[in-house]
This record gives sequence, C-alpha cells and structure tokens, in this order.
Amino acid sequence: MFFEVVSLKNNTFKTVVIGAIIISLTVLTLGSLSGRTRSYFESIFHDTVASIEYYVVKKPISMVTDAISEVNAIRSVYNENRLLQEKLNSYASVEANTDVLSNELNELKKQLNIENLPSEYQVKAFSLVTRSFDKWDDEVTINGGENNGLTKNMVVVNNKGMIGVITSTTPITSNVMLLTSGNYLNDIPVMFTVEDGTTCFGLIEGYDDENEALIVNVLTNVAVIQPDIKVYTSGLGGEGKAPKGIFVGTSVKLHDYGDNTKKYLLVKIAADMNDLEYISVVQQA
Amino acid sequence: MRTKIIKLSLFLALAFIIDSTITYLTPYKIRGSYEFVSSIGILSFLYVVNALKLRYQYWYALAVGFYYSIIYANSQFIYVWLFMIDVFLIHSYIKTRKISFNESLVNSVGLIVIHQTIPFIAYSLANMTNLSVTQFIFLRFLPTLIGNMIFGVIIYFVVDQLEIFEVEQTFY
Repeated sequence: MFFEVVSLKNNTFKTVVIGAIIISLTVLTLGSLSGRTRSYFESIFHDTVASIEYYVVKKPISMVTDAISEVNAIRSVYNENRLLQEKLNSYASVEANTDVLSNELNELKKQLNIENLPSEYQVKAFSLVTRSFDKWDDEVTINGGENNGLTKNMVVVNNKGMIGVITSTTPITSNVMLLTSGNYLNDIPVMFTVEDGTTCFGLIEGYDDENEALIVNVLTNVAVIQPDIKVYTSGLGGEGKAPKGIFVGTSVKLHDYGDNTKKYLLVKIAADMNDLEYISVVQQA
Repeated sequence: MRTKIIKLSLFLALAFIIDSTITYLTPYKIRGSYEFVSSIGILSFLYVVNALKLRYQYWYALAVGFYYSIIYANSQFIYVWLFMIDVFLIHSYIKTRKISFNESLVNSVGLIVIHQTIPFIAYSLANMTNLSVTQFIFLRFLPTLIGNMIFGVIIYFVVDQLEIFEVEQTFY
C-alpha cells in the first residue's frame, strides 16, 4: 500500500506529504549528526534485523571458518603441549604461593571489615553483534543488555585488556565506545608504577591518531616515565565504573604541553582492537 | 509490479547482508592502515531502482535509505538523502532503461563518491570523525573505490543474467 501513495493524483496533498517528509528528514539528519541516540522503535528494528543477520548468516559462516582455523590450530597443539608440560613443573609452587596469598588477603579483609576490594570484579562474556562501517574505530554493539545486568559506564575487555566503555544499553544489546574513538562520556582514571616505585595516577582523555596511542593526562608530579610501563585502571572513577586493575596498555612516551604545567603520557593499547569477536563486560564485585 | 518490488527488495537486502558479512569476517582493519568498505548493496541499488517504474523510484530510495540508516549506519539519516541523490544521479546519466557497461561504471563511481565523501564531510563538520582529509582519501576512499569497482563489474554481469531486472516500460 505504501507505493500506492505515490500514484495520488491530488497534487496539493502530494506537495504537503513531500514537504512533511523533507522537513522530518532534515530534522532527523541534523539530530543524528548532533549526537542523537536511537529511538525505541529504531532500537527494536535494528536489534531484530541485526540479530536475525547474526544468527542466520554471520554465526553459521563464522562457525565454518572457525572450524577450519581450529583444524589448522590442532597441528600446532602438539608443540604447544610439550612447551606447557615444561612450564607445568613450576606451576605447583605458583599455585601454593597463590593460595597462601589469598588466605592472607581474606584474613586481612576480615580484620579490616572490608567486603570487596576495588580490584575485585567479575566478568561476563558476550559476542559482537555489529561494527558499523562508518564508525569502525569508534563503537561496537554487543549481544548483552539491561536483561544481562549491563549498565552505562561498565568497562569492556577482551583477552588482552580494556577495549572500551558501555555508553548506552537496550534490553538485549549495548553500545560500546571503543578506546580508539577518543570520545568518552567521562575521562577514565588510570594508574601506573614507575621504576623508582612511585605510583602515579592519570586520566585517559583521548586518542592520538598520529601516534596510535591513548592520551593520558598525568596527575602525579613525575619527571620521567620509562617506556613499556604497564598502565591499569585505578578504580577511582566511582561506583559502577571501571574497577581497579584492568590492564589498559603500556607507556610509550611522556610529553608536556610546553609550559611544564601539564604532562601527558602516550599509552599503547594492549588489546587487539581488530579482533573483537569475543569480549567480556567487567562488573564490580 | 508488487511481486517485482518484493523480489528486487530481497535482492537488495541480500546485497546489504553480503556487505555486512564481509565487514564482519574481515575485522583486521588497523587504524592508520588501508580500509575497505564493501558497497555491494549500494552498487546493486543502481540496478534495482532502474528496474522500477519512474514514479516509485524516489519513494523506494526513501524506504531503502531509512532501512540502511537504521540497520547499517547507526541511525545516521544522512544516508536517506544519499539514496535520493543516487536516484537523481542515475536519472541524469542513464538515458536508456537498459544500463550499458560504461554507464554502470560511471554510475558506480558516482555512487561510491557520494556515499563516501558526503558522510565524511558531514561527520568532519559535526566533529564526528578523527580522519584527516589526506587519511580519508588515501586510506579509505581510494581502496574502497578500487575494490568496489571490481564488485561493480561482477554485479553488472550477475544482474544481466537475472530476469527481475528486465525493464517493462520505457520512460526516457
């Protein structure tokens, strides 16, 4: 019936309809360019089609490609297994040491009446549903939402480190703003320890395209920061945000803004931002 | 005509799914390196819209634009305008209802240029992209244009074999 509308002979009505469409479209276009978020109807429509595409087309294809790559991977398992067996000899002592430290930690928590430390968190695994053509480096959509207990500002990681922060949620999906976007809802607090043992704090403020590194505004007064220092989240962002100890990346170089009043550290992201098929959302304990 | 529109729409939806699947299966794009955006759906739109009766074409572009914007472009409704501009471009260059190989090449270039440059300009003005003009041209636009020209040739020969793209009436 939609297409029958176009054959209307009534020119006035036709002009009114076309005018209304042009005005609505202009408003929608300007709105989307100024950061408008998806409406409820758009979210439902997008989620439905994206889920059908994912489970009917993409998932079966990726299962086949995964199976092929798994067959190839099996070939190298034997060698890896031999190496692992060598490492296994030292595992028993590490495990025993971990048990001792865990017990000591629990004892200290009991004595100090602390329920959860800022570094305690749990992760939930999800899959990537969409990665928009035009915002490849900026955001992704994952197949978990409010129904899975996900909320805005939760940190998202993959097996190598932090990849981004949840910016919006629907009941079944969530939008994740990637670290490479440089557009964060709030600055992300981080910490690192320099060679002399000083613990420094900073805020991730953006992303430097030229150097392909995060820009961390260093809040602690420090003269030198060596390269390859590990940078973690500090857990100082408040409740419901990044817990302490999520690996972000390694330091590259310390810069100042020319007047020595403010310094920023370039940090190379640890996570492989090109391989985001399986990711996890971090929830504070 | 209704059956034809449904068949053409299914063809177009399939083309968009192929684009989306190509993007999904090739996630190895590194910031600062070459980036290719598969545009089989946009190139197929040329033939789909040409196979429709003239009075349906802009309305069809409107519907496709909304579908594309919501599903594949994060509700960036600038794409609705782009599909309308595509129809205008197709009208201004193609003079016969049977698209020749040369016409398809010129139109394919036009469609890719429109769908790459206009959003980039809009996103730059709205401060929504980190790409510089040089990075955009050399790392994204040219690889996308060259890659899709290959797809364009394949689509031309595929469409040539399909009955649903046969034109019923002459309008020009």
